[in-house]
Amino acid sequence: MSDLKETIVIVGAGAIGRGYLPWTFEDNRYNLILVDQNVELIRKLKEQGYFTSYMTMKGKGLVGKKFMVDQAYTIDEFQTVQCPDPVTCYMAVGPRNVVLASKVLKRFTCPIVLLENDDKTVELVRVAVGRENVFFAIPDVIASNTASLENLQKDPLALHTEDGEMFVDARAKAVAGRIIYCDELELKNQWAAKLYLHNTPHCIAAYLGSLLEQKYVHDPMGVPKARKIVEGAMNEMLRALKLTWDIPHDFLDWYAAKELDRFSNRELCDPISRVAREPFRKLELNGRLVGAALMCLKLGYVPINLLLGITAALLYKNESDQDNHIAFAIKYLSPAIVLSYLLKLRKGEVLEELLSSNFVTLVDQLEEVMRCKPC
Amino acid sequence: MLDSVHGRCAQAVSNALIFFESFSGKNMTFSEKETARDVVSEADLAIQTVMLRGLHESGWPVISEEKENNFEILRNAEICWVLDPIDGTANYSENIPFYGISLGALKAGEFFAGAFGMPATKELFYTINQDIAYLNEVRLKVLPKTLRASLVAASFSSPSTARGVEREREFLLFGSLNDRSKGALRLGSASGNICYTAAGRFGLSYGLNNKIWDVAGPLAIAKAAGCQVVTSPIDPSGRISFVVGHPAIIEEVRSEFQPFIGSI
Repeated sequence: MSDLKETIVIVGAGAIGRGYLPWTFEDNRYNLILVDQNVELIRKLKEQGYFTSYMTMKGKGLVGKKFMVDQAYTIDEFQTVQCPDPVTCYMAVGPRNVVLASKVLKRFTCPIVLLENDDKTVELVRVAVGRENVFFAIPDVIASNTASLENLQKDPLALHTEDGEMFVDARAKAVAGRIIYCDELELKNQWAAKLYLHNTPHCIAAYLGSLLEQKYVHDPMGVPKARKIVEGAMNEMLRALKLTWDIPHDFLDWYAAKELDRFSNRELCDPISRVAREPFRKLELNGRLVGAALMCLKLGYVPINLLLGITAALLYKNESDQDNHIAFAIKYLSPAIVLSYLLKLRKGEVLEELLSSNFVTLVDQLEEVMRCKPC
Repeated sequence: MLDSVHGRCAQAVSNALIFFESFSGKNMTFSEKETARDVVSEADLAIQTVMLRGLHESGWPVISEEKENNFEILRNAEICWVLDPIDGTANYSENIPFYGISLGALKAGEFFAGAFGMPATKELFYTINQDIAYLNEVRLKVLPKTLRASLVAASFSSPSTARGVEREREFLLFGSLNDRSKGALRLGSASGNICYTAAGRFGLSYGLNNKIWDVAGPLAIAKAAGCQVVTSPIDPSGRISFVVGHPAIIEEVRSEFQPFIGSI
């Protein structure tokens, strides 16, 4: 490790932390320390000392870049490693893991930047590390935690990412590179757009793809009936945001169109299992599916495509997923119990009524989509 | 087929929770059974009727609180359902939300599967296999705790099964645990006590000479959540004593429970 360079610590060496984030740092200026709970990944990173991230660039296709890994540690190892205060610590471990992962950052004083797709995690980490300089960031990008077979043959640690944009709370301004440091209002607008115009339809595409037994998120976008639901959900959210948020409409329209293109990007090889993972988190009361549908209902319209998305999430099956008990719940518990006990919808409220009384019809409509499964 | 025991168990309680909603807002009559704290309502009986119908379809025998039982089958049957249509009816009669529908399955005498649904708090505890249990959507995994940092929950025997000195020993144990912990509680539902222990809210729960239907399902849930479950043998009248908690906390109280449960 060069002593002349400043150090950046990235906790969470997955799609965002390893695939996209290093692209945003000024070249040759920082030493990179990667920390992850995946022991096997860390072993390979130590052994290889680098990884390749492939970015999809307009007109150029996939462009690969080799990133040197100065040090790599498991979370447990990093607890005891001597390390001077980095310039910034980034965390991209998934919202459910932030508190546990933040224990390794408690000893530092530098800013901690969270790329967690959930603004509530900032407060959790502030409490966990006992300081205030923990900030939210929005990587406006789709990154995959794997790569095409061809690229994996060149580098088994390869990943694919888009050429996105990185919005970071201006109070965390310390790292130089392709990073947009923005004020509170700009960050809030970006987050509303990301949560409802990206996260919502993106996970619906993944759940539909799962029902179609497909592998990548771009696959269902090639099935007209599935694409129609994703586009429909996008329009429902666009309408809700225009009616409730003070965000320029042309920005929202541009954002929505951009997202639909991204979901169809075949070069990303973004696995459905990544985007659809932890369905109970995606079905949280104030989250991207249930929260989004509640917003539309409050505005006076029934978001039929979001209801289909919620139903598709409830039907998600993946034995290796942390929330695979959703399949047990759907098989054995009555829909009314799933909605009121597991999703916490109040009995008798509009969304609960709509979902429980139309559950069979919604499943039938999804089965119609499933019949369009490509051979 | 055994996997579906967990499914059937959760399904039966889930359906009963929906059925229970039909009693919401209705005036209920409560009748005293053996003692003032042993009460039964129309809801208990109606839930039992509906659940027995479904459980009988499985072909396995059922032990249930509000019917005549042959406790021999607990030892002999391959699978035996054990039902308490409402555990904590006294609480229910006073609008205290700590009660629920409790169902367990014993396999060759072992606590195998369980589900406990609390309609007032919208909490459903259930096993999906012998090693995994959930509270609603959240996995239950018990964490180490000391007695000093824990609440303790107790379920006492009925006055008819422990009298005189024996009764006093039970109260002495309760007092001792109360003074060495965050406090000992007697909440009126053994099922609720055990499930809340599985969820880490109580560090320890115990019951002395409880009826098997009060505990069968929840003990399976506690085991699946990683609790150490120590029980006495089930006696011929279907009574059992138990202590449940993280192994570390059971270690702290081991000697005190030996006179009640036997060697731990």
